[in-house]
Amino acid sequence: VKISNEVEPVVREAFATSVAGERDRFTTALESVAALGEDRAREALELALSVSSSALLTVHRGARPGDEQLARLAGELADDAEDWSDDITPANAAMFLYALADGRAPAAETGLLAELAFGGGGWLLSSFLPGDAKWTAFLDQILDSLES
Amino acid sequence: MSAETIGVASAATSGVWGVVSSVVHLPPGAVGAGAGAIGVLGTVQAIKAWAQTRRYGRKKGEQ
Repeated sequence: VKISNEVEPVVREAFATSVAGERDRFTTALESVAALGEDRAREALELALSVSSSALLTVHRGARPGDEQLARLAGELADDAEDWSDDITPANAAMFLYALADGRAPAAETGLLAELAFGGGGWLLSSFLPGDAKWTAFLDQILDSLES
Repeated sequence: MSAETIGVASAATSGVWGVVSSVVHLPPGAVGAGAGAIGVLGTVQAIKAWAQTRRYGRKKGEQ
């Protein structure tokens, strides 16, 4: 997969705003995704889903997490996103994580899908790291793997 | 960043996952869930509408 130089920094910023939990910045970041235009915006969203899916699989050693684990994670994601997200509810988070775990596209309207892909993706990238690791390094690894 | 320089550990809050390999696992297929996930048209419009809602209006349960 070739990742566009135009798309990658926008995707990185969107994940960063999720990790930071900054509501207005997250909104602005997704507006920047839209500003890429239709083709690039779709590419950015698909990349965010791919990164999210890879992060979920990687932190679970390449195996599908069990349903109980997914349900628990969905609750944690929703709790952590509560202050800056309107729609990362426990139910939406569960829908998102189950779809990723099953290798399916989450069945959501595109605006919600973007909120989940970038918001949930940032959470997956940053919530399971040892103390001295940076989420950006994890993202770099995933992007490198996707492009190789 | 080499694959060996980053590890992924369990979330302190959950303990759901243990320390895992530093190898990135890609989902099945070229890009997994991302591939073809989005409809043919309307990504820009949908995200703009989403942002508009967050900035100016409708909260959950309204409308």
